[in-house]
Amino acid sequence: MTENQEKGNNRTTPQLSRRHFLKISAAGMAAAAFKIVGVDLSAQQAAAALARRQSGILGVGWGGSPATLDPLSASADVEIAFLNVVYDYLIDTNASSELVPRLASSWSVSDDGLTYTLQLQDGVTFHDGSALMPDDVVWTFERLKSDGPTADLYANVVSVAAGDGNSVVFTLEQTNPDFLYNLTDNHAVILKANADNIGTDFNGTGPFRLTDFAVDRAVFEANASYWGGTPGVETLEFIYFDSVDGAINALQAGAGVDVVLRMDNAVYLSLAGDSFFQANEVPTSGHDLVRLRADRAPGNDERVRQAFRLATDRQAIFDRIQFGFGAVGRDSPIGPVFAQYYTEETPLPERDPAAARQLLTDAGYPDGLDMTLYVPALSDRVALAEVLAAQWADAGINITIEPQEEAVYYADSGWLEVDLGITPWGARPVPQVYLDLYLKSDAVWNEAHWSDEEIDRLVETAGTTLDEAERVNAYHEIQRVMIERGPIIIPYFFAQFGVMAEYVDGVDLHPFAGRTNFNTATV
Amino acid sequence: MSNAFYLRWVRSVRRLVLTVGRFVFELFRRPQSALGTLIVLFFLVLALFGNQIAPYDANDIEHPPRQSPNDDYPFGTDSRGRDVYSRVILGTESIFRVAGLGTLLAVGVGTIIGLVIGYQGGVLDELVSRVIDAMLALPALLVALVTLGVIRELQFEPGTWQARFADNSVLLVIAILYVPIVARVVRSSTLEIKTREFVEAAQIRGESRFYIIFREIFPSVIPALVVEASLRFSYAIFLVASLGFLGVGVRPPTPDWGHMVSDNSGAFYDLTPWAMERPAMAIALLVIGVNLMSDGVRRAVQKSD
Repeated sequence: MTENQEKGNNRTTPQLSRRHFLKISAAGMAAAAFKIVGVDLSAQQAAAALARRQSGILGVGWGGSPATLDPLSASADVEIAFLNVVYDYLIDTNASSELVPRLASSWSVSDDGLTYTLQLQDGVTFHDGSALMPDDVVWTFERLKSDGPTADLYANVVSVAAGDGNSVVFTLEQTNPDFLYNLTDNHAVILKANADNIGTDFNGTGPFRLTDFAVDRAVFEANASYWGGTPGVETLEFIYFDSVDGAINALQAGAGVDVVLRMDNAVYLSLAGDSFFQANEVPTSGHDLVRLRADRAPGNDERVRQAFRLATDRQAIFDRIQFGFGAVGRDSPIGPVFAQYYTEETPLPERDPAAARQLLTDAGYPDGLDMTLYVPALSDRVALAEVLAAQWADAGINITIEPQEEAVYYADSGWLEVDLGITPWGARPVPQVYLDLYLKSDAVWNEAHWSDEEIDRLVETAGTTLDEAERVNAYHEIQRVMIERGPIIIPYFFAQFGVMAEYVDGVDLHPFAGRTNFNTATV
Repeated sequence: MSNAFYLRWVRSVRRLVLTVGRFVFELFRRPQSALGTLIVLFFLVLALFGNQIAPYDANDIEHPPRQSPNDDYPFGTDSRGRDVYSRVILGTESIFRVAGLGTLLAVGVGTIIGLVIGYQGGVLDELVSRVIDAMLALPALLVALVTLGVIRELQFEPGTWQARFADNSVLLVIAILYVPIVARVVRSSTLEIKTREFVEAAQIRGESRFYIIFREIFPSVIPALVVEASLRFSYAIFLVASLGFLGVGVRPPTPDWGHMVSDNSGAFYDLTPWAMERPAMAIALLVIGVNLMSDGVRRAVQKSD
């Protein structure tokens, strides 16, 4: 209702306003009734499916559109998905976070762990017809090293050079057991040396070639000379919607969308029961991090940190927010998806609000705590905050929830300043990334401002040792310390979701939705 | 104190009782108006005694999540395991507090402004009237969104008076939005009433301006004011619900109807339709009730005149 209508109505004929209102309510109730009755669309859906199958087009719906397509700055799923289609990575990871050869057909590591030699696939050509040379790889990584968010990641690389035959040699300053995983980084697509207009011209080696790019869609045709074999569909379309709901509606209506990746738990749960779709989920290492600043009161007291954790029921949160998708967390980023490093050796104490209250009293807060919980205004995160606030209230911790638009939450490093906050962390193929980014004392995003000598030592060991047993042990120890005295709560790990029409085949959902490959897809 | 004063006092009380009595009689004579009034009274009872009526705490998450309405949970539970019935009941209080107090504040301030500029006239009237015109030209929802957005970004320390001010910002925004509307209605009534003989008589008697405005003119403005206030109240409910739906103004997990509707829309509507429908029905019922009542108030006031 606009102010004009409102004013006009109440000035002269207030009755009209009521009728108008009743009319609107009646229309609303009718719409709701249709929704409740559930109009059967299956015949229509089947016809649409047949038409889609014959078209040879695979339509992928995204809830958002690319803001930048320069590999140096691209980060969102929808941006990485675009790059992953027109370019190639040296190495991919699969749904279980194992390394999979892509442009690099094989690799070897020197005994000292400092020199990596990657053999490139033969017969790879760019879309403009020129052949892929080791120099293109060298140029690409020099660019990644020089600027942007990857500068830190590759700071340890002393040199990248063309090797014997069709190979590339990376030399490191310090050993890094995860180096091959660093090469799979989302930004690290291989460009042609001295490429111009990066981000607007796309001369890649990838399975598809861009033919049309508009605000609401990108259209790609199959690259018939793709080194990995001709893709299974002639045309791939990325269709950009304002929200994932729009993409889901188009999928349900058979309106040009066959696949939708990445959605909220509730959306997935509401679709998962529909036999017309294939609903796929993969566990990931992505998680919501609840952290308490440990460098000032009240979080600098170990008993206070312990009280927050004792007041938290992770399983109840998992059931209510994740609806059982993903995994329950144990307050360390080394989740069950990293099977080789994950352990449940150290028991996580049962929820005990009374004990938590006692700890707070011991720490000098007999009347409990009043705190503000800052949270990005995304529905799942606010829901998490609500459940946490309800659980903590039993231990005398009174929470004021402060939802902030994401842009505001991250602006001016505000999220790093606040005492109590929730930050979502995306899926990564190795746990070390999280430890380096937010857990060690000098980490750039040490949100909790926590400094623990033992953790620093263990993170250092895990990040450099070439002895796998020592590494496993370090990761186990880190998990123990986090349970004993850590400043963070990780209540759960996300699952990644994908929903596809039943006639779509060959799409393996990746934990990072944007890295899902479409070259093997068929309709 | 003289006997005359006492008698005058008794007479005005009697007159007031009679007027109110006739007003109430007229209001309940039409079934539609009676129904509307009863609906509003029903919600008023919920607002006042919600804590005693609601079976559970509004934010208690210990219930099984996503239960469809059943004997234990008449309105079901939401995805977080909260009792929707309790939340709807306890949400009444906030909507009455914000919309009701906001309206009262707007009516109070707007009446004073309207009376003063209407009686005074001249440059003051011109100036204030243009400001009112300017304020009326702005869309209510937009003004509310911008104001609340700004207040929210200020982020006051919890516990300070600024924070308490920010927590009641929706109430204040409603008052600010509706003051010009009320002021304008009162002003136009005042313009008409000030030309009547009894006002002139008072002027000739040499009564003070204050006395004339509040003792002579104000009582005659009351009928128009009552109608306007009831209308404002219904729009305020709509506005509060809209703001809650848009996620500004209320802080989760406050059981706010508008927020409950938006919180349980989209995919959540497929999972727990009851968690969205019940608060939506409550909003619809209350707005219909207030509308029927305000229509009845208008008729009753006209009849009582």
